[in-house]
Amino acid sequence: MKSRELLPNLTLPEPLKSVEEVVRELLSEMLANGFKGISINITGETHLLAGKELSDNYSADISIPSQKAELIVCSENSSVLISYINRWKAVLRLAVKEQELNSLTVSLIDTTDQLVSLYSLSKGSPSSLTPAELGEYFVEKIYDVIPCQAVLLIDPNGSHKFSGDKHFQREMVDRWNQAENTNKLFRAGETAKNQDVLVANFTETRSGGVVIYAQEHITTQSKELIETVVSYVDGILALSSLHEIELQNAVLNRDIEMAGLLADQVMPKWTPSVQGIEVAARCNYARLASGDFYNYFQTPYGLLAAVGDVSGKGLPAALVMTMVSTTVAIASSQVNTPDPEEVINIVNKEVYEYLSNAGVFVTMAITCWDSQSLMLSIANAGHSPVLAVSSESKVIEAGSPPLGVLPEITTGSTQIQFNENDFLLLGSDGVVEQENSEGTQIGYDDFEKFVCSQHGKSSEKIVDNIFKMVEQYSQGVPQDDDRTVLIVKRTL
Amino acid sequence: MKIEVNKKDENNAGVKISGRFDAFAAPDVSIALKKLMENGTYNIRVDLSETNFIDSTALAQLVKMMKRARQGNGDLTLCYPSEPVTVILELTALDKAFKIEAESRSRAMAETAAMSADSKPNYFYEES
Repeated sequence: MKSRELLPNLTLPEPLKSVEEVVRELLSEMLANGFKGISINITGETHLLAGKELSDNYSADISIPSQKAELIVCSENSSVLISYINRWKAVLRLAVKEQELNSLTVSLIDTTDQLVSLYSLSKGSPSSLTPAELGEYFVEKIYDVIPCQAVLLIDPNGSHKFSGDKHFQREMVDRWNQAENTNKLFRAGETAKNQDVLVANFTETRSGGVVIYAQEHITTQSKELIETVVSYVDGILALSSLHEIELQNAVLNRDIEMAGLLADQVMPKWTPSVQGIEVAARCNYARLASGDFYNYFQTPYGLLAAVGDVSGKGLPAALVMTMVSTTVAIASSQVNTPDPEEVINIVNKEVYEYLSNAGVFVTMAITCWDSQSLMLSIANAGHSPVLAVSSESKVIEAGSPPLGVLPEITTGSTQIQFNENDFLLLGSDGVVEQENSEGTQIGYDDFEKFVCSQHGKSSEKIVDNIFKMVEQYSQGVPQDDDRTVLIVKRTL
Repeated sequence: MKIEVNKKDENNAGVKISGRFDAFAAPDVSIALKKLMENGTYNIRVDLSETNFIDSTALAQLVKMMKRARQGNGDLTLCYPSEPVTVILELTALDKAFKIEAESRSRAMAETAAMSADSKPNYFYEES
């Protein structure tokens, strides 16, 4: 007969539940051997296991080191009881072991659950999600991983994502708002039911964080788990926002590059063919777009060439540059005589208002070559360097402030008799003010000496040599300003 | 870069710009000058005796403020420009557009010292 059938109504105290089958078999055997009632005193309470409670009792201590217990039996012969003491002790030992194993299994399952959740947290951070969607995603995951009532996640943009028992939401928002502590993780308070409310600040993203409404006091183990999870989420959110910033920057850079390319189209790529002179020009930008520009046009009298430099750098300067360069083109077509001052005056009148509103100015030098008189005329509005090089060099100083400073300017104009191999340099300050690794600039004096040494070379070669010299001088110091050189050289 | 602002009275103020005056410093100078003009102070003396570097963005900022001061019937006077600043002002011929007071260095120093002794700057800005 099965023991379960023998003792259909058996109810065991907690420690013995895990060894029910063994207990049933033992009790059955004892009943068969003449015991009329069997009780056990365990954890301070006496439980009747089998038979009846009778007054004629014997008891035996069956305690083991980790569990106190007493067996109370009703029997006519107490000597039989002694033979069962060791068997009951063995049952108790088994029960305690089973209990330990059970709790270990439960904690292992819990840990495994957490590990599985952590795994899914780490595996499932889809890169296709936006930072806002990532917040939604992670708040659910944190709620799964950490044993808690509710989780509030404040993403780096300040928006709130919530998961768990809605009753706690308002209190958690208040805790976040009141939390002045900037520690990584701290206890912001506890509830009447000894539940911890934790606040964790994101450190990577520098804003946002997590509020956790725990089920109870947080253990050291759980604290470490929370720190790990929060730090992971923090890292991913930081990476994601970084990705978004990089993306925005990439789009912006592409636009600037495109604008730079368009601005570059303003500068002529063709070589003028004018009797008696040769022209070469180059502009190297410090950034994607240039505030320097050069332009030249064949005119009825010969050639007009201009070099300008917009104050400031980059795209804003490039936008102004295209406008001013176009105005020079229009003005040069309106003036049929080799009069650079008149051209510069027209340009200033056209652009003054615009430059004033933009808060910038433009330095500019214009030269006109008259192939009839073989004279070169130069007008200079705040521009440098402008050098006329023959057997010696001559600095053509600015006759007026740059364009956009005053509504009317009087640059005056300098006339130069040009002989074979003489040349005029219209440069920009970027070629003179380049610094070396010691922070020393090339300077106007040394630049002038170098330019003088180029007398006799072709215009193309002079441009080339100047750029090489500036590059060598920089000793690897990055270019800080746009560099422009235009050479008009007398041939025959 | 350091900016010191001394408001002498309702219409007159002195602003001293020391150190490197470039695109990074220009916005702070602009804020200081705008603040004065918004309060009706259009006669401003800008002390450039201790400005050791100036670039085109900074110059453009000064030009803009000079125009604004003149619109308010005042002026932006550049005082005692240091050698590097003087070179740039001459190269660009901006010395023809600005009112410039180029006193001797010793007098400039004495005046600055006297100014400092008279009154402390109304506020003080130092770039970190």
